[in-house]
Amino acid sequence: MKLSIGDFFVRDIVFGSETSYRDGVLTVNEAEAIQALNPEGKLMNVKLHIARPGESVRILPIKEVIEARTRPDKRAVFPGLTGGVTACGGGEVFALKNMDILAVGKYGGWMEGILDMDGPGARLSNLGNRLHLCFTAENTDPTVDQGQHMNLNFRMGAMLLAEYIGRTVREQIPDEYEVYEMAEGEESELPKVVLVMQLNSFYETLGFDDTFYGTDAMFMTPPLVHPNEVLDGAVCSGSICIAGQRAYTYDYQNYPMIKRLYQEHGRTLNFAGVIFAIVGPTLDKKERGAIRVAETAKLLGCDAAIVVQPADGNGDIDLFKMIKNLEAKGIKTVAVGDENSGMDGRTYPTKAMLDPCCDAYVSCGMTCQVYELPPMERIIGDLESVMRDPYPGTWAENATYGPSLREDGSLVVDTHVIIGNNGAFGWSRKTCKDF
Amino acid sequence: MSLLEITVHLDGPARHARISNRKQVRELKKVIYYINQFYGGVGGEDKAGCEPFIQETLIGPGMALNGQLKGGSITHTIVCGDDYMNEHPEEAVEKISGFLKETEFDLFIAGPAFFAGRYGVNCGRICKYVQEKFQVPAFTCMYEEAPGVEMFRRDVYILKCGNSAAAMRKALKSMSAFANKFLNGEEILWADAEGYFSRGIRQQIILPEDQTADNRAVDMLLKKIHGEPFQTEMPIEMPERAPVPPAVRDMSSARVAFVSTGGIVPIGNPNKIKTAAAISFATYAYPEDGVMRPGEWESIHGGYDQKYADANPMTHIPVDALRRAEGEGKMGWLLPYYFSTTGNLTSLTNAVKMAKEIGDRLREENIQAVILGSA
Repeated sequence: MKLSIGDFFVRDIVFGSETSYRDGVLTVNEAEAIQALNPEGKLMNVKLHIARPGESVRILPIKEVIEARTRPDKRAVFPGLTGGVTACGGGEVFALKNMDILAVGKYGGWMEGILDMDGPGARLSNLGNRLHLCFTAENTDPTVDQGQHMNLNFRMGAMLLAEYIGRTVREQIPDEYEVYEMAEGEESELPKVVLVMQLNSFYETLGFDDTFYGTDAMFMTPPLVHPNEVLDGAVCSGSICIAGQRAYTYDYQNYPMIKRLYQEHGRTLNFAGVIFAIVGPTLDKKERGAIRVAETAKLLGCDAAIVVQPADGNGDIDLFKMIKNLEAKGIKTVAVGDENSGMDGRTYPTKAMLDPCCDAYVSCGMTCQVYELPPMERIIGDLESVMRDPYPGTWAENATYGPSLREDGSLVVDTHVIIGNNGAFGWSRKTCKDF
Repeated sequence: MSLLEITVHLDGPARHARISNRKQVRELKKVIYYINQFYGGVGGEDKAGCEPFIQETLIGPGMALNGQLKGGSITHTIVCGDDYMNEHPEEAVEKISGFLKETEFDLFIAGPAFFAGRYGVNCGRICKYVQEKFQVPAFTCMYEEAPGVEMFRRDVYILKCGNSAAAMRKALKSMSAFANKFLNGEEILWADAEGYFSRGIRQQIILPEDQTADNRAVDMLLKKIHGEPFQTEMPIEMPERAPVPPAVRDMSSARVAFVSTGGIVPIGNPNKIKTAAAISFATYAYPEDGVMRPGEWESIHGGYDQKYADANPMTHIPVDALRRAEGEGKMGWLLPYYFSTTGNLTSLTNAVKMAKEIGDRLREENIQAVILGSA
């Protein structure tokens, strides 16, 4: 299967009368864009905002991050969600690079993140150096998204806006193409490597999990998929797990670990494919998942595996069971994930489950490292959400630090809430050390 | 800007260190240096009871240390006897605290204590106290198996050094380099980079741009595939736990043994057990009449004042009490010999090895209960 991603490098975003893309500048007609993302009026008070790297802007609470795309053959960018189910991973798709679409709401929760475009916070996130077209909104029906919420209207709004913006380049010639080609069942002398991707999925109620062709990931046993399907919109972000750790749709569309394995494919290794791993809600489902992952890898004839975990806690058990089973079958495994040593850095174990079977772990950062973030001049979203809503990584009161939001607008928070801090899928430039 | 700088540290020591770093002091910073009576030139073991005193002079290793400091200098030296602080810890730190209240200082350094037991513990104790009480960074320096390391590594920075004064030059070099970081407001990096024993704090750092997780994972995987050495970024330690044995159901029929790390041996130490950092043990039969007399037995333990043990070996090996308990039926039978070694500065590795060998012997003797006597 061959996927060609035609890249358009965006230099700036401005508002104007006609939504168009020309010479690296994206112009957006606000009213038309709002209509496109909110066709059924499920959202109200919808506004658009532009944020650029280096601007003194704080964006919160962020619910979804998506790369604007379109398909020259007019199929939906997100099959199963914005259109009927068609195969992902082959053919052509166009993408607007250096920018993304951010869905920002009024209320925060466990997967909503904070992004600073300047100062130390900007350096903590891979989102800090991209342009952002954000929309802020509230649900029209106030009973929607109370308590633990699905963000369905925001997630759909972000997808629709991504497709609307993507259409500006449909008739144009990309600046360059990225080509991802891997023949199914391709054999070579090189060591065969599989990528095991844990999805953010453990919710039995529909509407929370990451989706695969539009269906919640929870109910599948770990399937074998083509890496191109991941890069091409088959997997989209749900509304669970932690902002600092989780993969948003943008991260799936640009999954660095897949791109990196493609670079090595045919050179130092034979990239055999991707196995999704889910986080089982019960021990039986965890066991079943770990058995399936290892058995699938073995059936493929893999010599080695990289297992990526964009979460911690509950999913640690699935992770270590997978590593154990893979190693038991002689499949050399490297795990990539985060650490949680508590705010004092002294909580051990660093994960809910540890096992010495894991001798190769790439640490992508601490989930609760505390940072002071200076005030920003402009807020996109709702700063009060920090004190009002139950974000992990913020607090109303703390004996050591005081409240997360201070009077001058500065924050003291931990990395749970900093969107994109950990980046186990490949962005992370962080590791942990003993001090 | 380094990201370590914007990190708020919860733990006291690091936070205090950082606050002090931020202080912009134009003049040379002031360092107070702590050593024991030996390095302070007072005397050896016979002077270990020496009470603390402070002097506005450079003493012992302080001279060489001071010569390597940049941005500050040692203004005072505090000397205290090992035994004095060991036996009167509260009085000792109170006295030293009294000296320090009268003195302005920016950094407190103690040691190096190498493999010394009491001296190392005292260095750790005084550093912890000074850091907490005066909110000034304090550090010391020891050999990895010195008991002070495990006791205080979580509280203060303890630099690593060799196990004897032969390593003095190297120790002073790393101590001055570390001190200079404080004196010049430089960032303290992680344990391996600086050469201190981890304080047990895991913290996130930012790596150079090319060291993204995908690059690191693929590099590690290729090394693992090809059997080349690689370093995991999250070491997993599963501490070995000694299970608590079930209680002895009936002591009146139990076979009992006595094992001692107090270093009591027949005069002349026939099995050449080391006086410190033991690597071997020996067994000795109790005298027929059940009394261990001075002049026939001695202590070879190098970690405490032996005069009480020499005057009455049964302070360590209470064979009189054991025989009495046996006679009264409080225990079934006493193994007629005891196991002897010294416990001071014994490495964990050697201790575990000896414990396994002793355990095997006890099993052969079908022993149900063991009394472990320390120094």
